[in-house]
Amino acid sequence: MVTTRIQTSRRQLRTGREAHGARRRLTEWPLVATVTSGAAAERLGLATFGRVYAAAVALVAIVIAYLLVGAQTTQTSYELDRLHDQNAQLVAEQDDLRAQDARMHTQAGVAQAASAAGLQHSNALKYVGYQPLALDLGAPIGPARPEDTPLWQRALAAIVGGTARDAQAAGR
Amino acid sequence: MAVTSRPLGAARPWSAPKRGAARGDTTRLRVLWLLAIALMLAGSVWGRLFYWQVVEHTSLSERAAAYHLAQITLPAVRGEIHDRDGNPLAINTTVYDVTVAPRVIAAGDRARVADGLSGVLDLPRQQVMDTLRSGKEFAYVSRRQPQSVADRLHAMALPGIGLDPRPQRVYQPGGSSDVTLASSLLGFVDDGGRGQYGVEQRYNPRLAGRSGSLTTYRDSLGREIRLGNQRRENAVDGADLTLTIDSDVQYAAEQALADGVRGAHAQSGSVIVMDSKTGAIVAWADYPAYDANHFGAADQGRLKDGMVADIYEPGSVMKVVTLAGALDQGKILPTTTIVDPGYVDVGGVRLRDWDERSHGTVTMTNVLESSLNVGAVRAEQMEGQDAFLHYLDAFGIGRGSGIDVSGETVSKLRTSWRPSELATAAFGQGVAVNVVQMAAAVNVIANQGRWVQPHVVARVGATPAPPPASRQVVSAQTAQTMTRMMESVVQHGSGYLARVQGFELNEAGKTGTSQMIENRQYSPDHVWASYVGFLPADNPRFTMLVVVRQPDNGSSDHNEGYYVSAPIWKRIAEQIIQDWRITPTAPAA
Repeated sequence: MVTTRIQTSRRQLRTGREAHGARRRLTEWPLVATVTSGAAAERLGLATFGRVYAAAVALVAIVIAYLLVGAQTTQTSYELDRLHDQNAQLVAEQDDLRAQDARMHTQAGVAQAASAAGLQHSNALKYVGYQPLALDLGAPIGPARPEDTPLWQRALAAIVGGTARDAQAAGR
Repeated sequence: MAVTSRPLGAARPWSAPKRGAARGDTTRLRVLWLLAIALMLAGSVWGRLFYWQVVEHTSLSERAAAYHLAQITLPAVRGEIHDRDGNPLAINTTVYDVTVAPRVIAAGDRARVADGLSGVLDLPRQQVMDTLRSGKEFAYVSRRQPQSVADRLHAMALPGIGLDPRPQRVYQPGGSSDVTLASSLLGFVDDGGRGQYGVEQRYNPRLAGRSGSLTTYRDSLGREIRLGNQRRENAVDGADLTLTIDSDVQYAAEQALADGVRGAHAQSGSVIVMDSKTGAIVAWADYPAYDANHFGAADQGRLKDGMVADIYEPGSVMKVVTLAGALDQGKILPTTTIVDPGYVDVGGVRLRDWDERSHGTVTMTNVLESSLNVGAVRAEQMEGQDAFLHYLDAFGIGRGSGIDVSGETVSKLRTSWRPSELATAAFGQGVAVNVVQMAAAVNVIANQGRWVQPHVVARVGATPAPPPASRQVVSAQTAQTMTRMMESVVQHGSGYLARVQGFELNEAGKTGTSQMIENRQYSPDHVWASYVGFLPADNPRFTMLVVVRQPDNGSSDHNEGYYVSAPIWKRIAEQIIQDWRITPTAPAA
């Protein structure tokens, strides 16, 4: 026969072991511990399913975060796509302007513009045949320099021939 | 205190009583049936899953990939083509194919869209309306519209209208209103992006580059989603080409040739100008040519480049080659005299001078001045067959010029020659060349006896083209002597209409007129009229050959090279002199 006291001590002994194990496990999962440590949580059965709930919540949070990042990435890629199109359009316009510029600077373009402006070709260029130059390239250019040669040098030059400067140079 | 115990089971009233063996089997059978049904159901589900996941995996993956993944071609930008001074000859722009999605356009909007499109694209309104009512998902309205049209359509913001950009090659306007500059040399790029004819075809692999690709996700509207896992291979753009062409000279050549051909009522004509020392092609003009910007509308016969694709008999221009060979062999001198009765019999065939008259005793210089066939035949006979054929080959007659343009046609020299054939070859009949070959042959005289390979490409990208091949054909002394004889042609002979003021005493040239072959016979009326020359003679800057096909000026005399081609040569030479600042030099004392 089992007495009440023995049953009580057995209950106390069992409860103590279970409580100790639960405490040890709950200290390893502090978040879960706060949820499951109370008596109310124990009554609700959260002690058993707490981890599953927490994992599910975490998983959902991760999925939501992934979806948010994915949506943001998609939006950014749309923006990039738009900018890419805009860039291509600007490049196309730039190429078009470059082609117009090149066309305007060709001989045909210049001739067309000149014709539109009423300009006409002048007479064809003429060449003259080769002939000796009629210019004396040795002649001094500009007004004569003031005569500053001493009189005796000019007299000497008149006697020996040549210019006064020649005589001076020869003297050196 | 003793603790007693007894078995609990026997005393429990709810414990199952012992059943018979038959009832136990029925229960087990039911369980087995249920298990079998469950297994069958599960098996069918798992089997179906296996079918979709394993058996159909590849095809389903492909379908999914086709729906979500898109492989986008990243087109390479085609290299541009520039002239020697960097002026663009062929550049790229963007044109647009105008598309429409009739299903997207509401019935109430059709009239507005049709009005807008027909107004901007200059299309019949009813035609556009028919397209809009077709109920198709997609249709082209117009192709290759310029940027200005695209801008107007963009501003109108019509529903269901798309603009699909495409690259477009643009060429510069040429010497006459209906052609683009150097079209026969450049060729064009077809709608598929492939170079056709000329430089565009020859250098297509370098110009085209290599397309890349991008594999990426796309949404239901076809927009790119950059979610990683992209596979990207970048495109390699094509290299730019820098040609040796001078745009200004090219333009002048096209103008002068067009005027000359039209003035002579000729069928066609060609002009080639090359740098005497390097063989670089400065101008390359054909008339008639075509508009490379609208190649689809061009006459197909004009697309090929007559300069290299057609061969002709050069006529008396060949006398330069004949006499140079004889001079180099020491068989003749400029003062060597012969008696010219106006004809010569060779191998039973009587060959005559162009005027069929006796010229009495003439020097070899006179032979060149007056372009006497009898004198050329005599020079060939003095030179001997082997030496004559050797010089033909050395001057490049019978072998390709090697020019870097696609489609060169070469007529090989025959292997066995009758004496009469050798004799006619001495004055340029019975041998066929293309224009480039002939220009390069005469350029030997301008380049101190050295043949240099004609070429049109100076640089590919930043890499200079390899130096052109060259070979010594005749001695520099022979070339100098031949130059004096060719100067005499301009001063005293048939080249007088090519005299350029200021360079009358420093210009070398030679006329040529050859009968065309029609129905395997020489035509009495139709000729090739040509003129070749270089300037200044004492230090040549350029060598130019003008060939006009089948001029029709009313008389045979006025269809000859001196009358038809020499003035064209002169006009172009005057332009080059101005552009290149070539100044006359004092004649040697």
